[in-house]
Amino acid sequence: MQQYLVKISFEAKDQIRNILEYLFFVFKSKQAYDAVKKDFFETVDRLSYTAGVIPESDNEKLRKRRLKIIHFKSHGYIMLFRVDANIATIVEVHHETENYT
Amino acid sequence: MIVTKPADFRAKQKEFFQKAYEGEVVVVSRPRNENTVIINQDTYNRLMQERRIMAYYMGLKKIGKLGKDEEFHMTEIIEKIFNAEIIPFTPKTEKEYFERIDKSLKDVEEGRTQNAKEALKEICSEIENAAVFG
Repeated sequence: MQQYLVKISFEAKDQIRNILEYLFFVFKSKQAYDAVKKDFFETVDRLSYTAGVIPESDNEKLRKRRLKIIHFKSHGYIMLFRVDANIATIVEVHHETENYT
Repeated sequence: MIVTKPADFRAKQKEFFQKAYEGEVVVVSRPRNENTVIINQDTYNRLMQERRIMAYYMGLKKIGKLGKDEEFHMTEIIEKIFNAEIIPFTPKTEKEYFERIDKSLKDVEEGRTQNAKEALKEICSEIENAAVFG
């Protein structure tokens, strides 16, 4: 099975920071913060060996940008990522209830 | 709440949109109960935020991560929801969403990327240090 190096854009990094800061400082739940943080790490792990086999999105605008979607295990978040050779780069992170497409 | 029929809605569309913008809930009543509700964007964003917060809560509860001592009571949850600010970083439209994605793809093209796990560790370290010293 091919392994992928998982990278993240600076923009997506800011999005993750916003989500975790929100949970920690605004929602004030260390539990929620810890659980989502764990889920982020696990999803990155999963992405490192599934990036190539995940199909491209059905959405035309995402497909045009060669973006694929991976769902978090438990908390309803999704990551959009792009595969180039053996690198999977996360470009967007948001909750699945924020359905813009 | 204002309830109107489709014909009346069409005739006074501008007026109904203005009322929805000002915070009124407009229900367009249609046959077979295929009703449509019009709300303004702030209300929509608030509803989405409430849904997300409830999803966190239900998710944690489902996987048994809510300890007995730390378990939220519903009243506290509801209080948190209504006191919370609208999440400022949430895109409000599809256009904003794709602008954000394109900005991120530009980062990728121009090499503004980082190892994902290292980035996550860095963020968590910043947050947890801020909590200790804050």
